[in-house]
Amino acid sequence: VNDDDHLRFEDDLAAYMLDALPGDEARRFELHLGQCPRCQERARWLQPSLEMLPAAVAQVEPPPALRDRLMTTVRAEAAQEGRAAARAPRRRSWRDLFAIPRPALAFTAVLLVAVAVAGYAIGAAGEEGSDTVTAQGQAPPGATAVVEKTGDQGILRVTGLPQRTDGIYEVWIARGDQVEPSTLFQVQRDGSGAAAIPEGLADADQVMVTLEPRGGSPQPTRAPLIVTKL
Amino acid sequence: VQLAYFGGLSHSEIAEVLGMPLGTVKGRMRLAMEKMRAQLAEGV
Repeated sequence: VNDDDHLRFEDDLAAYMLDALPGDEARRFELHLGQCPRCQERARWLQPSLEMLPAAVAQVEPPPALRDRLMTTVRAEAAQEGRAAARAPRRRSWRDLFAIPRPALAFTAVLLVAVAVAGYAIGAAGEEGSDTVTAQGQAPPGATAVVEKTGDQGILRVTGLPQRTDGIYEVWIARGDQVEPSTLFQVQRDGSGAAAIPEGLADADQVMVTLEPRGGSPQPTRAPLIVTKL
Repeated sequence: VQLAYFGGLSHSEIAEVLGMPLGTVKGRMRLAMEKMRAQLAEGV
């Protein structure tokens, strides 16, 4: 890439990162970015500015119904993306330069939601204080599961579960013969993990965990790995 | 930056809203992002 070519695109990077370039212009810039180490380096350098933007506005506490809507959308899109990915190769974008495969980004998004909800739940539990009940669950050999229940919400902590990239762990809340989906979670490399259960524990009989296809399922598709009687 | 990131506007729409040339809009986006980055580096 010669200097003239680079200078012509120098002002496009920030606009591109902010998604302010219209389609054809964005594609032209992508072609340049793909072969311009200076712009790639600049993009990496500017990335924290972009990441800071969401924190620059007033933060609001999400209404509980948002989580359900979000998870419904995530499941629908994951199912759709699975079908679309099988059909056609996707357009390359500058994000590819950072070499994070899209499924990993999707996982990260799910994890961030889980972590955010966990943080919220932990914060809320901390405020409420003492009335936390702990229940030990039945888990596969070598694994442990504990549900810490505080009123209607709680946290499931697991150890010794295999890290799976071909699926995701889904938490279910059982009430009588009814089973409702709750949180999705992944475990760390060491097999430990935590899942926030933001609601529905007050009158629950059991908390269960199954391994489900990416994006989770509306109904369990496999036998539970973990069963915790409350 | 606000109009682009939170408003979802393209650079030409921003130029129209602010009554500025396109080049100025892109230049200011760049300056704003660089300034934020520099401040982050300083730990502000």
